[in-house]
Amino acid sequence: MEEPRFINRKIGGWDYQQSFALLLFIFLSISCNSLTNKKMETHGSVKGILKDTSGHPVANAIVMIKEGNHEFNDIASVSNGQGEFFVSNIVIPGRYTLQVQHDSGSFTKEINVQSADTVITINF
Amino acid sequence: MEGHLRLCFFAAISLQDTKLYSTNYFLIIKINFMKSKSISERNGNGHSHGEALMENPSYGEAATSVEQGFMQSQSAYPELSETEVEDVEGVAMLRPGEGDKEVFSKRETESAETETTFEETGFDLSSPETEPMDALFASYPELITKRKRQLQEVIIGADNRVRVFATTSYPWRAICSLRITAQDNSRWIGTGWLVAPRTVITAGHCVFMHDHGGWAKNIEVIPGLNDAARPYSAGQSANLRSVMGWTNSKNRDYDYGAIILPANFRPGDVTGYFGFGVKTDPYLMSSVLNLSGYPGDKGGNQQWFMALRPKSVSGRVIKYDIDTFGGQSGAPVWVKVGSVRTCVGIHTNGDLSGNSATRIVTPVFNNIQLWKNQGL
Repeated sequence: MEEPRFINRKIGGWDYQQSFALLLFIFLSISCNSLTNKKMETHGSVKGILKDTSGHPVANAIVMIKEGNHEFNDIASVSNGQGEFFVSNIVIPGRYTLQVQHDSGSFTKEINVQSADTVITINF
Repeated sequence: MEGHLRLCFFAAISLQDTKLYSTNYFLIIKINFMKSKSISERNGNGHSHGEALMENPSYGEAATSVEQGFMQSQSAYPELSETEVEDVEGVAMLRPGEGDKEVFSKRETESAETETTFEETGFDLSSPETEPMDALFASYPELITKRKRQLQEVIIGADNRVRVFATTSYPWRAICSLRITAQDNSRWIGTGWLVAPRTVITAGHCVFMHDHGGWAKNIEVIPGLNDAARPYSAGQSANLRSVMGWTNSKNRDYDYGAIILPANFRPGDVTGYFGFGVKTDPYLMSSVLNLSGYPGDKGGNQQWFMALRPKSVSGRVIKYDIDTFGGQSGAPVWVKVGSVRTCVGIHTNGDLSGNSATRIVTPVFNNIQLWKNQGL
């Protein structure tokens, strides 16, 4: 009587458990590789400095995100005496359009934030 | 083997949609495997949860629906805890039920009993003959389209907000401009709304700023601000409240908090205050949402309002196309039926796909009620 050919459920000398482990390893390798290629995203705040055309800091301007390629908090920053403001809790890297509102007028500026160390300089 | 493949496929979905940003990929994978297994194991009716995810390929959406079910007892997976589905980068997972655990900067008042009702009425001192704009829209939602058409004739672009001049009328006077000073002395503007004589509800990121020292150093609260006019004066406080889901995990779903004003400043006695409540998905989707706050693009000293039906509702978030701008974080999102105004959300975020509010679900309701009692 002929013995069953795949009684040990082997494929090319590998059993199913080994095959599954191999498949899983290949899958994880591909997944990890795609994640590595994708730039890591994080949340953070970036600082900016607002200056007038003469290079003097602009205080008490309201700076906020008008739009961006990520969700953002609807809070607005107020520049201090050194013209410093912050864009808080944003996804980095990301592209955002800032709106600056001041007694002397308003304007928008697009920013491309690549790291939390970025310092945005805006000449008002 | 079939089970293994299904697990493998589910892992693929989880991996692709994960928002964990750790460099330890193997840790992420392990966590996701554990998640999938946990969900599958709890699904005892033979219907694979992995299959459910295949029908709804967004892991985030699936997680939200699970959480919603937990919060409102409408889910096929009622036994899942809310923290099982949190998706937080770089921060330890909270234990089940801890997301809405109250935290505070300091406590000056006693802790109150938490009641179990899901509708808290507001307080309105105004005379009934005045019909505020939100009431008009709530009663006759078909007017919104007409109103939008009118507004588009006078406002540039697609901005459909209208300015509220009558900030001494209810409910507008119960809405407050916030001037926030963070621990690092950075300054910010936001919005809040009164739920008690001296309790102001706002966004979590208005009271606790992770990148700027944590709890705000000081917040100035100005009810009914109208340009230079401060009809109800202003008060300052550093007595703040939020929840661990925000302060510890920076989870958008838990982005809410409160300001308890000092005992000698009780603007709500004069302005009245909002009611708040938990509403179902169908109710919200069929309601007109009202939103009013202090946007920075208008200088931060003027109150601006808009109303629209929501775009979508999920377990913890309400999305809408109501126009907002920086400075409106913390603004009330409310529905009005007759003379009853019920806040259903706290505006927090802007996004091209829809601006959004933290939805008032049962744990949020319980915390707001707790904080309300601390400001009576």
